[in-house]
Amino acid sequence: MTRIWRRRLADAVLIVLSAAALLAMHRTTPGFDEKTAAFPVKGSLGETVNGRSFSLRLDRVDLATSLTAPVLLGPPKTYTTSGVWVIVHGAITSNVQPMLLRYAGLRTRDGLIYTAVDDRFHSRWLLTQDENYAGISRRGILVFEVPPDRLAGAVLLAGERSFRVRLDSRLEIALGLDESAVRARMASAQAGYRLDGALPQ
Amino acid sequence: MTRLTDWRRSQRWYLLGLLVLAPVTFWLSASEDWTAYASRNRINPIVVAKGATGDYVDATWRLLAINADESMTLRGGQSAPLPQTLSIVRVRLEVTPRTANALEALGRCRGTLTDARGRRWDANPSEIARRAKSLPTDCQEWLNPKTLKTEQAQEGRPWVFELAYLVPRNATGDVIPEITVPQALPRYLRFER
Repeated sequence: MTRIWRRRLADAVLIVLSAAALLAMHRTTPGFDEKTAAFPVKGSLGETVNGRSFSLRLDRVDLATSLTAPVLLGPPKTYTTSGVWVIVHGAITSNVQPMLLRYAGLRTRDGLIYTAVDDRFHSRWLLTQDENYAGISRRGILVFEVPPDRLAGAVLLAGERSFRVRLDSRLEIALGLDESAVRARMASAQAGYRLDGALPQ
Repeated sequence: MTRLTDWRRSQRWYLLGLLVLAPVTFWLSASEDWTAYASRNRINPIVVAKGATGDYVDATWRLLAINADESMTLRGGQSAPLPQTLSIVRVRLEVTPRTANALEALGRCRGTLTDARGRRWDANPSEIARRAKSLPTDCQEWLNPKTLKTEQAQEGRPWVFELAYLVPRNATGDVIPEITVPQALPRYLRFER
């Protein structure tokens, strides 16, 4: 093989290797969504889970077939559901500065997310309402409406910003409900669960 | 060696241009972002030594007192104990605006407390709104609950006011009062204790 052919062969190999490297980089470089995704911080019921800007501890999960909740004007109103009301009790503490818990959702095993219900009834105990202050723990509740067959394995998601938390921590707290626990809880689920009566002291 | 020197000599104007243009290009692309960031964030504190006065937004500022309370006196005069983990920190300040512009700027002033860990609390949270107030609670004006008249700061006259903060009791020892006026950002006032 002459010198010129050897050089051409080396060039061709270099080109193929460069193309392969480019392709590999293209396939493996994370996209915008992955680069700016939330940082999941996982935890479980009863454990204080620390995010960047706030900490959350969930203490108890209650199920109800109907809720009685105060409204802004007029007598308390009863809310029924074709699913089940999930009332999660917990305490939130801001880590740095005054903040609002703007996002709370319940992610089921099949990946569906049910956002916390906080626009239908008025309750100052809802953790998604009112500011939280640094170092001061505030107890309250989060309320979700979920089909009972999707409740087993549900994980509570919480973030300071809106639904699509980006470049910030998102707490993921397992509620610890398996199939048998959901069945047992459903059998004893309350009707007319009073939101203002079940409030933390 | 001679060839390199010749090359440098022949290219000197281009190299000089590069030395000037590279930083200018960098600054042009970054300055807008920096200016926008600086106009929204507190970056440069004006530190006021203990007992001294500070100059900020054409006004003279002084920290008069800082006290922590473990109970809250309500408007009716009765005392409401706070949870054991909480305190109310009352920060009494005096401001003397020197110009009409300063008076206007004071209307948007914001008081904060920070601690050594970088935690921050805003003044006058709604949870302690029912407390008894004997002094203005704002940098510029307030509705006096006794006379039901609005009182305002005036140019050239000292205006004494008191900001209240709800903070964890274990943080009251090292909190630092700060004042921010949005028009003056990125500068803000910090009082040493």
